[in-house]
Amino acid sequence: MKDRTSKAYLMRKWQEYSFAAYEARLYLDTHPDSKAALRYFNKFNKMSIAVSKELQEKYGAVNTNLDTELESWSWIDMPWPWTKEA
Amino acid sequence: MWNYEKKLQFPINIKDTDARTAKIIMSQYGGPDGEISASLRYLSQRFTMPNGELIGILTDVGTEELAHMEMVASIVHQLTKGLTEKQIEEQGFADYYVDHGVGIWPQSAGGIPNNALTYASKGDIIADLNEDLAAEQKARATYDNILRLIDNPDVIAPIRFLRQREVVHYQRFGEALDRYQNGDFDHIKVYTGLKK
Repeated sequence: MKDRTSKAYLMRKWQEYSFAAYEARLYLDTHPDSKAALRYFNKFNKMSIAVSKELQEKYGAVNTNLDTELESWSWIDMPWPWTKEA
Repeated sequence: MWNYEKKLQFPINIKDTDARTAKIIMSQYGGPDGEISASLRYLSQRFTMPNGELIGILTDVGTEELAHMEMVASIVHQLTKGLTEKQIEEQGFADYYVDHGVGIWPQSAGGIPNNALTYASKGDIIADLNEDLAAEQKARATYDNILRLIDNPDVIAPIRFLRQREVVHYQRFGEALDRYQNGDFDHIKVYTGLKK
């Protein structure tokens, strides 16, 4: 996990950032006027998208809604998420 | 509609198979307080909510429950993939195995199939939000029961995460109910779904 370009590292960062953004999203649903929560959401949402794009460009499709050019239909490549990490 | 992301919400990597643990945990997939029922409860109730805030919290929590359903299924899958015939018999999994192999099927730990009667959608804001608060506590209590019954740290970590999410969802639903009852939405005409 030391290698900051490894698939495992990028995947873990994506999980962390997207969780942080999702948590802020639920908070904002009941605190829509919180400027701090909105800043937090914007920050982690941006980080989540950036790291998932890096993951997708280096190791194959993880989210077909991202603004990336797929070189092959890697969406169907193993592993799917419930497979144990090596 | 929904967009699939090729990741789990929380990582799951379970080294050893264990059919006994799998059978307990599958209750949070298809059991009475499991993630399938949770998701269908919120994603059904949202249609008769009166405003964007209440629709939003039900949509977002209901969507997160889909990710939890996937996590619970992943735990069961990793605990059962590669079991031997001997382990299936010795670890009390033969009665599940005879009907489903090691496939994923929504049932409670006691073998009761997932049932829409495990949740309500009443078309009434107060009734539905109170149901949601109770549902989160019932799911939290089930995860507490699971944590008393299992000892594998690879399984405990994601189960603890799922338990914490129930607490957060309870908090958010409580805030939504408070805001509604304190008149934060007085400017919005309550939607009954009926024509006069």
